[in-house]
Amino acid sequence: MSFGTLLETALAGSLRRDPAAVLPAFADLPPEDRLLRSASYAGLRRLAGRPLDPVAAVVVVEPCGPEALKAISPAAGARLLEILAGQPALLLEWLDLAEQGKWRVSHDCLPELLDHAIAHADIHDRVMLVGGERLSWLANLKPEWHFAARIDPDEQFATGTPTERARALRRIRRQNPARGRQLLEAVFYGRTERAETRSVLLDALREGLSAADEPLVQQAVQDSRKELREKGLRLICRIPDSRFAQRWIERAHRLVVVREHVVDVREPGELDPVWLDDGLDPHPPKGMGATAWIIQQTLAFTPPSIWPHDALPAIQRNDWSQPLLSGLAQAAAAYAEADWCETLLLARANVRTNAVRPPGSDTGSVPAANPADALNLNAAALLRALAPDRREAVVVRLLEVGAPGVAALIASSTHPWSQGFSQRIMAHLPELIEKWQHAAGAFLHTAALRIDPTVLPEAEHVLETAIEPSWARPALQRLVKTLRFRLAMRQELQPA
Amino acid sequence: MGDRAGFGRVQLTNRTDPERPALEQEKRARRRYDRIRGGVEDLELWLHDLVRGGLAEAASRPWTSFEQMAERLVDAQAPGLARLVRDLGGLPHRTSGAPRGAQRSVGWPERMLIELGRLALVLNAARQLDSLEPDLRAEVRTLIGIAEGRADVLATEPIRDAWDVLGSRRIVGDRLSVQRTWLWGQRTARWALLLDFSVAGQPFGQSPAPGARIEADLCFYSGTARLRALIKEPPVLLGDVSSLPSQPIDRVLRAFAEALGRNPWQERIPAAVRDVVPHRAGAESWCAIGADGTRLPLAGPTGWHLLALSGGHPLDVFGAWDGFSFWPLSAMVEGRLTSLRAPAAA
Repeated sequence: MSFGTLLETALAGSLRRDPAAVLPAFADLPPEDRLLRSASYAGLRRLAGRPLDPVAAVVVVEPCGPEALKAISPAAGARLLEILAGQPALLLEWLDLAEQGKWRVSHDCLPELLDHAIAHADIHDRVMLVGGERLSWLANLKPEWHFAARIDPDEQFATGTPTERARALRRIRRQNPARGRQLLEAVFYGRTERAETRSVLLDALREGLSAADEPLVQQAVQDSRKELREKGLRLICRIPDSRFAQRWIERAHRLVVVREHVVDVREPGELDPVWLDDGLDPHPPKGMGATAWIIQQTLAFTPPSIWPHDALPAIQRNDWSQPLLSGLAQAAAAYAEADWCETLLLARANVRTNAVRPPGSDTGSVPAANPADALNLNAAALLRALAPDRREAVVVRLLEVGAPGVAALIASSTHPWSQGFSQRIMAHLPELIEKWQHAAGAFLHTAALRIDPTVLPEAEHVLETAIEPSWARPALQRLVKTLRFRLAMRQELQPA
Repeated sequence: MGDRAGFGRVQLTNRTDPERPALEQEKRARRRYDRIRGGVEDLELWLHDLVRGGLAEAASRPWTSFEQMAERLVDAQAPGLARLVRDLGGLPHRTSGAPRGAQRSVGWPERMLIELGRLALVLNAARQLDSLEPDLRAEVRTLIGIAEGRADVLATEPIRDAWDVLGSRRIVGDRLSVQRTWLWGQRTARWALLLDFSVAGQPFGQSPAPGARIEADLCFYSGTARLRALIKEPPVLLGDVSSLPSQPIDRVLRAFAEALGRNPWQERIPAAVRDVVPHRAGAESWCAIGADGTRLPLAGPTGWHLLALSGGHPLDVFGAWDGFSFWPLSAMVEGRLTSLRAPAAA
């Protein structure tokens, strides 16, 4: 009796089917024993000589081509896996170091890296830079990993999801800004795409932005959707010598006249509807007068470089100081006008430390508020608009005059800190912990990711000496631990 | 019902315990023997009931039907038989790599009939232990769950070798988790298996990590395959594994048949397959294709990792073969042994 027949009998049960004996010796046994003994004998024969299960539907693929870059060391690979499993905040730095060192991620770590990146669109480009040939080869085989497959950007722009299309558009812009602009123009003038899609795609213009893009960005500034208008305004301020800026300079000069340390603000009068096409919102927010609102927006859209720096005290004394300063701060951040960003950040600290209240700040239609508060709202944006070296210089000066709120400002400095800046922070650390108390805990947490890890000895010194207050110890220990980890990371990813 | 003269009465007790009077040892052994005999009889009746109703009906039985029989065997001090019954109950539901309770596995009736036959064979052997040759008797005693004393194993003549640690796998259970670590002896050209246990989430023992080559004295448990072993002294680290004792796929299949010839209850053998290319076959099912085109079905969750390492090129893979599928544990990549990992739970 074959195994197949025995199996049919066994499935049905010996009550329904009388089992045949596979050996004559089993013939006289009761049916249950006959079946079990036959299973022992025929089953083992089957197991020992069993043909392999047929494997159908094998996915045949071309083998992956050779790698151009050198693979990271096993130690660096182990660290990457540790980061992916429990320290995702350090991944960005790891990827940057790997790219700078001209390394590629070892094949061993690719599945984990790809799995992690599925939910983190912001690192897709970086992952592709350090993934080597194998990453794209592998990504092509699993739909969830397709973001890392080497797909023609034109094809991806035509067929992808909005996020994929934006990424494809950024890639096209990097190669050929004009082509990227043409593709986006078709989207904007065709008006067939949803507003959300247009908004996501517009971000890609940041790559290779130039004067040639102004007409298209102007289109976004005039869009009926608020989100698009705001994105358009942010973009258009970054176009050097734009016609938009020229128009607002003319309007600003008509409204605000600076003469010999005196600032003269004129009533705007009847609102020219053309201003609306340049981003002006005619409806003031609750609690704000129409005139103040127009003044604030005018200054916000105007390149701040037209105002002399020594006019600041006069602006602060002016009846319209609140809208003037708010608008000026917005413009300084939007145009990334370094001198004004710096001036305003330092002025803000002086205002606070000297407690000088500009006269007349609570008169007229201006809401009663301290101008410093208005500046305070923008401090992080002003700091972000500065290049890293100037940003650090401003923070150090604020730190030295003991300006309030510096903790938050330092925490918003998300760039990798220079060695000099890191050393200054470390030197101030014991007094900061004492002064800021619990706010220093959150500060130490973010600082651990940005401080130059070569200041580890200084950090260890602080840990050894600063035992007061006791709550700071675990936070300092974490800082030292993170710095050790990052230092090792750096050593492992020294240029190949 | 045959000769029930003994389960090796003398060996049931702990020989290294000279304190206890011989009479009490004899009494305890007798008590355990009686309990096991009772369990074996109950299991036989239960098996008869199962084959009367048929496998199709057995597969649709609730889990408790198998669990109750297993608990009865634990009470009868035959935990090894209890495990075999639980495994039998899990067969219709177990697909390779998928969690228990997923869809019905393909080919379960074949596996169930084979395992049923092996279980019937244990019961048959248990009744005539004294007539079996010593190695096979040791296998049957282990299957029943009469553990060989650790001290007894360590008292045997050790085998010293440079052992390559080739792979390990953890099987996490509700109460008990097991870690199997496979070693290959460089000079003796033999396999060894280290078992570590973890009860209720306690840490595992200190078996060496895959990828290491160690100089160590290993003492082997008795049995036909003589796979399971204990490390006698703390091992000395010699370096890294530099190659696998790999073979073509058909040689591995033959080695399994030979192992079954020596011990019909052999559940799996360690094996390294040479120059295979991993391929996806359907959604999450995998195979390794040998140089001669043989398609070896793969089990386990490590397919993507293996594919990343291979990139479509042939490589040597170490794992365990159970007659149905190959469970990969490590692979040789650019002269280094790399342990295969499952993706993190999404």
